[in-house]
Amino acid sequence: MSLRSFLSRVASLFRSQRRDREIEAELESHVQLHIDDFLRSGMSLAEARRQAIIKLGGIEQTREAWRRQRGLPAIESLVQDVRYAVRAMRKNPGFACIALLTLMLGIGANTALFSVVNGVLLNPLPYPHSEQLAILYQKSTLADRGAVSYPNFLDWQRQNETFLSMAAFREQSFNLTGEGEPTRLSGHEVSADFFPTLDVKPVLGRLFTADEDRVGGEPVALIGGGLWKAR
Amino acid sequence: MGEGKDVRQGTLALMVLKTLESMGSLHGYGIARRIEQTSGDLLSVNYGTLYPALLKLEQEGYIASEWGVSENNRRARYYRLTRAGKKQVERETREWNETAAIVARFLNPEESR
Repeated sequence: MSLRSFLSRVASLFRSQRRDREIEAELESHVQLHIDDFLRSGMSLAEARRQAIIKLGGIEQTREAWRRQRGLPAIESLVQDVRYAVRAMRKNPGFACIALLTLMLGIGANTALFSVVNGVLLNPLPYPHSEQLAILYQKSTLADRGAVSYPNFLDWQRQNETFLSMAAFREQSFNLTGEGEPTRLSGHEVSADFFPTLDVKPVLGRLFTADEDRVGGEPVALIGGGLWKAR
Repeated sequence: MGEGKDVRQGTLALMVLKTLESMGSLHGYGIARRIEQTSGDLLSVNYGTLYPALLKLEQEGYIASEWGVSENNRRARYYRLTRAGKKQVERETREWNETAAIVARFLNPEESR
């Protein structure tokens, strides 16, 4: 099907009634013209009409074949199905409600279950024992999942009996200068035990030491492989 | 379109285009009769199959149609070739001749040498 005829068929979905009336008139005119010819050859009117319709192959059949060419039968029957469904639901609102509720619960439960399965089984975080990882928040009157103040974190860490290890991190942007074009990098400020907690080791160099993890400590950074290669 | 051979899909379209090229503007019934006469009454097709074919040609932009009045004062829908239709006649005629020539070589291998 060429693009042009496809567009024409799509357009016909929206003005089908007028075109349907037109083919009606066109087929009637065809039969009439044929009858005129038969009458001239001396046939009776009833017989002429009968013969003309036979030669056409039936008015209803022709109209059907014409309709299949006019629009997109698959879409038209889909529209009909949807209309029928809406009518049926309106007629029986109780049933429609129950059906809708069943679908909502079914889809909701499946989605919830999938998110868990997807996170834990299919796409777990790329760390060893990622199922043991959790993020802790501080609940306050302002926010259910608020940030934790650093002194609070230190208290939690000291009193912790639940987790093997605890670390703090905060999103932060950095400027990279002194080597080619200055660049804005997005990263995190983390406490020294952040990487040991995740059980991640650097490919090159070393992790942060406890000595660096205090006020006035040396500023040190760990960069990703992408930035390392780019620079 | 008497009691003879069936018309293949696609061939009918070319016959319609060719008929409109030689006759100018014509209604569906007229096209059907003309094709029948031109074929020497060897073709048998229900006139009805013409209408989906006409619609298809119109959708492809090869023909255009409008309502008019016949010689004996009947309202009828008249079809005519568009500019794209004229090009299509040339193209299809050429392709048809090529196909016919190739098939002829297979059917009469002696003569074509």
